[in-house]
Amino acid sequence: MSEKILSRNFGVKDSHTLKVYRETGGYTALAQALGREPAAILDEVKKSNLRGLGGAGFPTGMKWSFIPKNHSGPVYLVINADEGEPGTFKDRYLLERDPHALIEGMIIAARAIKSALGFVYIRGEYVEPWRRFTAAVREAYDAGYLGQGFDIVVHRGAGAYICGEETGLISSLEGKKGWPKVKPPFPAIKGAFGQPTIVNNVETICCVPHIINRGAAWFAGLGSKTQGGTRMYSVSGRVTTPGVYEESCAITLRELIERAGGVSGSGRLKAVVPGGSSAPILAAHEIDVVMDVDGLRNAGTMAGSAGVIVFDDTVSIPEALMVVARFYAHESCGQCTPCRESTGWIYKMCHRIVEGKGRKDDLDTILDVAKRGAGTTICAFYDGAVGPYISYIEKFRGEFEALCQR
Amino acid sequence: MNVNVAAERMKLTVDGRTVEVRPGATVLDAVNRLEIALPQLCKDHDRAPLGACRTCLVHVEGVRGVPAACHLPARDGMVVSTEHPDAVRVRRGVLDLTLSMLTPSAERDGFGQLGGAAERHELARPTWTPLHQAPIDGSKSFFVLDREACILCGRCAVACDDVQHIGAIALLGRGHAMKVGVARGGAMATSVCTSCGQCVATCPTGALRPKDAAAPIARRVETTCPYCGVGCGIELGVRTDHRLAVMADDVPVNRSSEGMLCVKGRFGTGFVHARDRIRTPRVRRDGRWHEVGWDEALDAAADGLARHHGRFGALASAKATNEDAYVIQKFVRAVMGTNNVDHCTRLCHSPSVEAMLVSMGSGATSNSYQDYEEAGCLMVVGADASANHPVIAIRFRRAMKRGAKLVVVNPKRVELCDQADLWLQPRPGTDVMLFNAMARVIVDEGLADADFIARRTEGVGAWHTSLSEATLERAAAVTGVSAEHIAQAARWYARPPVSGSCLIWGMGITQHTNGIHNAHALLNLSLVAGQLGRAGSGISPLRGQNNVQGCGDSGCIPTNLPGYQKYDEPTLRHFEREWGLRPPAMTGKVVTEMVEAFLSGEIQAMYVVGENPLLSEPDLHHAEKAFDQLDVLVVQDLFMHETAEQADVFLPAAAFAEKEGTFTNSERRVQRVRKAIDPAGDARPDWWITAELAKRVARRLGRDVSTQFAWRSASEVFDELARLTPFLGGLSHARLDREGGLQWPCPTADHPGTRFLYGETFPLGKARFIPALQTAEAAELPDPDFPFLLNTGRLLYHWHGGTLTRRVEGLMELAPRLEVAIHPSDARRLGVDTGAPLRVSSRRGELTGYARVTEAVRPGALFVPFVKLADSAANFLTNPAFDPASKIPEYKVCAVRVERLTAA
Ligand SMILES: Cc1cc2nc3c(=O)[nH]c(=O)nc-3n(C[C@H](O)[C@H](O)[C@H](O)COP(=O)(O)O)c2cc1C
Ligand code: SF4
Ligand code: SF4
Ligand code: FES
Repeated sequence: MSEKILSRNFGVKDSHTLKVYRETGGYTALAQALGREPAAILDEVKKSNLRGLGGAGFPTGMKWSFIPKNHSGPVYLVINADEGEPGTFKDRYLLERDPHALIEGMIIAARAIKSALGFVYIRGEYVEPWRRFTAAVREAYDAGYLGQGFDIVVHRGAGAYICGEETGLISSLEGKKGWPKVKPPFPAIKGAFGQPTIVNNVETICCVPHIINRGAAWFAGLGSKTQGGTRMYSVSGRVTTPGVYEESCAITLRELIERAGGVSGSGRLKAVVPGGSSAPILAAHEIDVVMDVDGLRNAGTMAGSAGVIVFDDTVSIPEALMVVARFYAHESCGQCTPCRESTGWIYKMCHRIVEGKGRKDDLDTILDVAKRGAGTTICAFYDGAVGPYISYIEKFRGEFEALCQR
Repeated sequence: MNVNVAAERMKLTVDGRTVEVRPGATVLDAVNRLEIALPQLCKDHDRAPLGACRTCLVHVEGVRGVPAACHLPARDGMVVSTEHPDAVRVRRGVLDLTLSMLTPSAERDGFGQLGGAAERHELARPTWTPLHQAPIDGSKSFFVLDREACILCGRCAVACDDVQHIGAIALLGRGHAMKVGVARGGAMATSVCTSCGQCVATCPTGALRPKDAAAPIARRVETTCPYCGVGCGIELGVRTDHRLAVMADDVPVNRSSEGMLCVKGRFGTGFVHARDRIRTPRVRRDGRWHEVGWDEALDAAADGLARHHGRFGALASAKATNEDAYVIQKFVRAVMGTNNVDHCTRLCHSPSVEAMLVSMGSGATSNSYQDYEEAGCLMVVGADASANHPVIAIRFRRAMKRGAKLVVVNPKRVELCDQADLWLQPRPGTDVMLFNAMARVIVDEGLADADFIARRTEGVGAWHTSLSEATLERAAAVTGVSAEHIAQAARWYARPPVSGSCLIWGMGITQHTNGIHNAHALLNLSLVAGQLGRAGSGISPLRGQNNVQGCGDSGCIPTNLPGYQKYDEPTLRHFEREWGLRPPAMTGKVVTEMVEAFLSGEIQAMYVVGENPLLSEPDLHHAEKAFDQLDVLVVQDLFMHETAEQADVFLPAAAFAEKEGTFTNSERRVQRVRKAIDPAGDARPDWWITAELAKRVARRLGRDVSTQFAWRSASEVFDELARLTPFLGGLSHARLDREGGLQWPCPTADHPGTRFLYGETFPLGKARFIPALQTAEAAELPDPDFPFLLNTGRLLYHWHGGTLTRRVEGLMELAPRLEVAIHPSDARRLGVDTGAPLRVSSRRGELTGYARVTEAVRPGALFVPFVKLADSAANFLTNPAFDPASKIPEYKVCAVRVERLTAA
């Protein structure tokens, strides 16, 4: 078991208060960071091999460095706390149990990118996390950490998955419908309110104070070769002890399932979704994979948001796909024709198959539509939908065919 | 070596051919440059990419996948293929999904652009069937929304929201449930849609399409809208059967309208084909009209007019071109020996013009439309811009989006009130007190622009003394507006959050007996705050007709020669040299005085061009009596109307789409009017008719004008106007064709035109503060017999008296009958609901209309538009009491009584 970094205080009483946070070393990184040049902070983060933990796994330091150097207007820091990916619930823990870590991380990140205003976009259903976090923001203002050149605005979402996509989130933040925008321009060049904007996940920013406190080399050493640090895995489904587990990025999927007490239900593993519902599924024999961004990518899936969903062999894969397909059909923002139309059609067909009314060629039709549309849309939502469509059917085709009698 | 060369132009290869584009261009721009057919369903040429349809997919060497060309920045050296098998395969899949959304039918004409794209991709029948069905929404008069032909590209929503800033339609819902719709999911007619048609123009599949059957278009002609003073560019479609298409297109390159249009410009040009256009000259004999040839008609008119040399007056048309106007005033001055020539400004804005002439020396709008957008505060007084100047209202909304404050001053709740940061609702007729109080706040709180006042104005001392009465407390008591609101408006106006402030006013201010005081009070406000003469500031009287500005510029006013030149010796001599005849030196009569002169016999012959004074005059019964006294009346127009019915000779004129010329809009932009179709029947351009008439009258009077009315084209007329009018000196038809519309002053051929006036000086040198006094509130106030205060104005769907718009079927459908707006409390007392027939009577006459119960008017007030519908017109009621200085009739307020009629 690796050292707990992000969740080190989760068991401590009142860990969400400023008092406890300070007693356990909180805001010491900030003091250090204030003595450093922005470029030095950015460099430290770059060297730490920190990669975005919201889904895309983009190197954080590199993202920060895209902010135009000669920009004279405001720069914004936006924290993505929309946590909508099915099977993912780690940001909730962080907001509830260690909100000051996010605030401290934000102030340091803001220094690195020269931002004076940060937004935190919190998923609408997260009432308790929102209460805890806003209370912490108030404490931080009272203590003078905020309001001294950096301010935080908390914004609550309204329950649309697509508002977790960074440009959809920005649209929503601007008061518009949460529709993703065409790229380029990328947010780092032209984001919220037309200004350069960095969007980072809650967990990503919570890592920052530790990197400053203990150094990039230490942080990089915690993980794999290409991804530093530990990360919070949300493990759910058929495991004995579902929950959030902080582990090194270098852990394997098999080890992680064991940490969660092993497969429950029938006790026989059938498949695992390793990175939230958008990640292609892995069959039972594929679980010796390293859970970092590159390890999972090489295995044909993705680390995504590190939401691990475990299926025992009593789970029907076609039914599971139907549930996933319903989610994507319902949550597509509807802008792009391929996404809107295909998600609608594929859900219909999955439904038909599960009801026993499917035809054998339905499977090829789904695969054809899914494959053609992949990579053609405004945002990565549709690619996220395509992952399960293709992998569920290709890896478990027999199960589908058994349902398609015609 | 110039290292920037590479950055200036980028070279790409598309399907093996090279093409150059500018930095900032997209791959789609490059594809389109080469005219390669690539679907691009959601891309409007003039708007940013939406990226929604995903049909513009291409292959790019070294780039993964098939990116959408419409939002892929072009880069030097890029190798693009539209025919790469991957791109074609995926594109075909997307087109298949797109086509699958639609239900074919006979009236859905091939789905426009999508149909062509599907054919090129060999997609005869789509794989899928539509998931949704929806009946056609035919609730709007000009167009339908047919959701079974909609591909949800989103272009219409952008047109409605981002272009027009109306926000009537949007893509509602998400995912598969998404559809185009309006708030609360009702029919389009239940929404705030203004029928501007911006969405219809952009829809790629015909889901939004005009109701009339599509007809093949032979050619397109860019010209200028004939309706209001905004002067939008329109592109007329001329069908193969030589008629105009019902829907005109917008002109994105037009600098005044930037591709925006309102319902009248988009769908209102059909009047040129009205069945009751007069196509042949007519002469009245034995009380009956006889159709005759031009020679006979012109001779008859000339005989009559020649008899009354000197006892003559002419009313020119602010709807006709500058060229038409110039020829009329030349005829009146040089041949008829009088300065009795006027146009309809008298009926709307002469107090503004008069006051501006006295204060500054010019009566034009000082700023450009662009300045509205750049302003930090817009104060809109007595104007319903959303209805009367819709495209200017869009500029206001754009400004507000950028953070400008909007202050609306209006007794009536006009649409802008709902968008305003502050709405002041003064009691009618108390405006001077209101503005004087604002001015006092500005002075008292040290917000005045002391430097501007010192350097650029005079008379501040006396004016300041005149404000002693105008304390906030008194103003609040008199106007009914809270002191706090008056002060807030003054502060925002004097010190807007950014940039400058624009003061904009309409007829609510000027059609009063104290109109000129109102106008002065406004002008003083702009002077004390120094809010004119720089970008983002200015003063604008919103002009009614399309060419009021130009009609005055060209000399159709009794007080000045073309270009507002005075009747002084050197000028008169100059004109005499040019014209061969000397214009009279005495100021002529304004139109309302002319009507009085009919009664006294001072004027016995009248030439009325493109106007219907027997509808627009205040107190119509009185005017009818006066017209009866005339010996000779010559009317020149498109239609037989109330005034024409009284005429001796009727000369049929060509409509705007049938002739060449220029209009000058409210921002002083001179723009081309172009001939799209031949005149109806024997109709001729106004300038030609007037010139022919002038020659014949001159011959009868023994005056030699042989070379004076011999123009061969409108462009020659314009050249003469420009030669005699210094501020137009640099303009010609050829230059306007080359460069698009230009704003005067433009004195020389290399002058770029002028965005705003008064940057350096005023025509008078310094501007003058003129004390404005709050006189009696209105000449006629409610009393026990006539307990209601009547207000008149215009409607979005009708133009002026309705002569043109009544002839456009779809507009009639949108506003078919005369509605009388009445406050709910009064309606309750009278026991009427919306739709109930009412009789409204004043001391002068009566009309019948239908109640529209609305809080838009105050209790005790009524509003009636001055369009004439079903033989009812508001001007049967109104009051001819003039503003003594500018002689504008008091249309805005008079006392009336209202009764419920039992339904027939
Ligand atoms: C459909 C969709 C939903 C997403 N939802 C979330 C989310 O809920 N939370 C999150 O942090 N990132 C989400 N992302 C990823 C964000 O777009 C973005 O990459 C991320 O917030 C960047 O932060 P990071 O670099 O710190 O990971 C989503 C992406 C897509 C395409
Ligand atoms: S891919 Fe789907 S969710 Fe993303 S912008 Fe397009 S329609 Fe919306
Ligand atoms: S109505 Fe036309 S413009 Fe509007 S979304 Fe549908 S297809 Fe596009
Ligand atoms: S034109 Fe490019 S996505 Fe529609």
